[in-house]
Amino acid sequence: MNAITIRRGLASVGRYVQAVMGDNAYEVYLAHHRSAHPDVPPMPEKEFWRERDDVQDREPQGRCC
Amino acid sequence: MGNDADRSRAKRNRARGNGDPAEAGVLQQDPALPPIAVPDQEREAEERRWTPPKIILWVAIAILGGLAWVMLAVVRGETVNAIWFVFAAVCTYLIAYRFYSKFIERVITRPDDRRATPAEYLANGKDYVPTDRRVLFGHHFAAIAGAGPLVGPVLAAQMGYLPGTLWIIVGVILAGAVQDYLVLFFSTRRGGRSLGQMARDQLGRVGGVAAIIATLVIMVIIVAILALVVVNALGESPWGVFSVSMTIPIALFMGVYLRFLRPGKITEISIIGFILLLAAIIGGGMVADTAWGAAVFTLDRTTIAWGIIIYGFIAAILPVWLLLAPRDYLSTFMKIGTILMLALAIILVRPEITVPAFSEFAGNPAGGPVVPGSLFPFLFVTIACGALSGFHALIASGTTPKLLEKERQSRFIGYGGMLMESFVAIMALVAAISIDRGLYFAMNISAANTLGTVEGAVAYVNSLGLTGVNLTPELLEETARNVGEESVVSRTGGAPTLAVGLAHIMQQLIGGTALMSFWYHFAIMFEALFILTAVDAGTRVARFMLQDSIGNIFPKFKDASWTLGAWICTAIMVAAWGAILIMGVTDPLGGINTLFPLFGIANQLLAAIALAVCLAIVADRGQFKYLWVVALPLAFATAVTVTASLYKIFSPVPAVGYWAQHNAFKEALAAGEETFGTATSREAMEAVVRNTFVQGTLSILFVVLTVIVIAVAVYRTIRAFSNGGGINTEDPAVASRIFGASGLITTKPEKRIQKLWDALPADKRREKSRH
Repeated sequence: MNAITIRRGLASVGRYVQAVMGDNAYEVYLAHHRSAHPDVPPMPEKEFWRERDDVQDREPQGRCC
Repeated sequence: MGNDADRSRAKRNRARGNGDPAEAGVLQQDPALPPIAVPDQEREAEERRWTPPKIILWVAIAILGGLAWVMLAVVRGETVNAIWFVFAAVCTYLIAYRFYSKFIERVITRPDDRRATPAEYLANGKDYVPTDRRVLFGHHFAAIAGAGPLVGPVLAAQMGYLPGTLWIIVGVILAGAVQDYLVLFFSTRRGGRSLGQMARDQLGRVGGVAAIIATLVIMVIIVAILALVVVNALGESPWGVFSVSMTIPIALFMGVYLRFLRPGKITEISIIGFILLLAAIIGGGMVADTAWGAAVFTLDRTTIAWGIIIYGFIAAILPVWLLLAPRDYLSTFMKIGTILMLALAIILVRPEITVPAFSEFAGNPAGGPVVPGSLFPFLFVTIACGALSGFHALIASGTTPKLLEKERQSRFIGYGGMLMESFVAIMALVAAISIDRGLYFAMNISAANTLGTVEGAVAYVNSLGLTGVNLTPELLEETARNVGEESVVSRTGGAPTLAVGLAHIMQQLIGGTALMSFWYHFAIMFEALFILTAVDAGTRVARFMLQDSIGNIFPKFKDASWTLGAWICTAIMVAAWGAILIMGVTDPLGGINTLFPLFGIANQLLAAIALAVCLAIVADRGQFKYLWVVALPLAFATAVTVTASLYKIFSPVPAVGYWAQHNAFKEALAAGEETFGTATSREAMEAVVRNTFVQGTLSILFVVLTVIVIAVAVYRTIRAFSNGGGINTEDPAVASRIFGASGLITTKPEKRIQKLWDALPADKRREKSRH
């Protein structure tokens, strides 16, 4: 168990937490967009995040007890 | 759909084992791609291969689990160590997951990874996204778990530790996790359709409408009672009121940060928000110590209830980005953290439990003083979340299927996710029973009996004649002082008891009694956070459903951008749960003890509806030999909820039956009495008459709606049986073009295939269907 393994472990925990929280949503969208509509420019990042929140206004999602 | 059409399709359904000939053509593997699934033969060979280390591992798990159950259920010494609860639960979950859920997969769901999931064939990069299974597990868990599994087990601890433990563990493996798994899988096969839509497709118009009305009413009840738990935790607690109120400005700040300053930095702002939250908790202690702080933030329960109602309305009409989304992030972040903390604390501290396996109330037909009613059925409705929670069906249909990468992963997400929630419930139970039993009852018996005073509580609890319980005023005063509260008497609702239990365990690990008040308010804070998120989201979802339903008569309501319509529907929903909340807060009989059974009944009735839909689907698939997998939990949930409802409607014991209580108070009023039971005035008596009328009416409504849904499902099942199958409501099969491992651990064949995919040029990998 050296410092590098620990750092690598922590980094992957960090990446996992970020993925669960949704930090990578824009990257996911870009990856999808590139393969599905390569000829259309993707939504700019700021607009993407706004749209992502605003869609919940129209289609609310439940949270359980 | 006519019967003839049903029958001609039925033929096809019966043939539909692992390969409908029509589907086989569609599901051809693209030869240009590496395998999109592990070939069935290879997978089965891998599953059946029992190597010596594997055998030793499973034998060890079985022995450890068996030993733990012997310690809990048979030996039952003077004290029992909390670690046995952890072993019994974890080992049983592992065995159930490995063997029972695998069995369900083999005989009922029969996932086919050659089929694309809606996340793949409808992929849009936003709400339909094939998501890594471990990440999706986190998402799904954060969506299903909240305050429910933290509250129910605490209240059920009045019966002793064993009934609750047995129901949480056995219930989840045979009922709760089965429901979540099946609903998730069936919804995935149907383009991610919601439970309501599936009910309409499967059960026809009457069953579908009944299911939707039931869902709506149940949502109102659940939001109201969760809000009541918060109100009870914050009443007369300046510290709690201050720190929980601070979550609003913190969330607003987070919202603005994410919208304008650094969009997308969700984890970053959640960490900042978490630190601010800790500051709010510490600050709350300081504020509550000042004279002005105590004066401003000491609020009675009715005021807090009105505060939550007004807040709930505003939160539901504000844009999501400003309040709901950031608080949801904070809540998710806290969920992961606190559950890890709870598990670590219990494993490291390993408290000794002195609560008996079965308490004096377990055999009492009137039940205990915390929640009235006999063990069967009321224990099974007191603990809903963590054992069987119908609410999950709303998440498992609709939300999660849109993110599910491969069909075969639904077992890990659906069944596994629910096991995780059950584990949270077990930990909550352990935390609650690790505190002194006398203290437990003093905190959980309503002020109607303890009079809300230390003397009253001591006298009442000691008069119960519980063995080994000798409550002293000093203990109550010392506990209150340690957790930084004026009093801990009659802090009903479960949340404060759990907070005391958690503080009690955590202070042994870090900080000693000096930090107890911090841990207590930390626990109150996360419970309030989970609940307020559920209240906001629940109000929005309910409003949306109401808009949709009214929209069938007045089409304008369906237009989501019509602000006035949204406001009217929000106001109706808030008024509905607000009325029940105020009723609970002002109830002369105590509130939580009369209302909590309704919460459990509502949640389990939803589970019965979800299982009824699953039953009809399984029957339509022609899988009659294994129908019992669904029929068993459905029959049990139906027996529990219908019996509990009938007790609530017809029981002659006033503490149990709403109408018996109603009539008793009505007669007392008619006889001109000035006081009756725990009601000390004619106004209070009139309030009881009113409250019991509402509660009794709701009980009748619930049971009628559910019986309709179940009757339709059973009728459809019998019809399917005589036809040898029924209509196929699945969406047409689409061939998958992606690969993903199925379970938590990647198997050898999966690793081999994953390597091929990793070696593929980036432009060919993960090609999603175009739309």
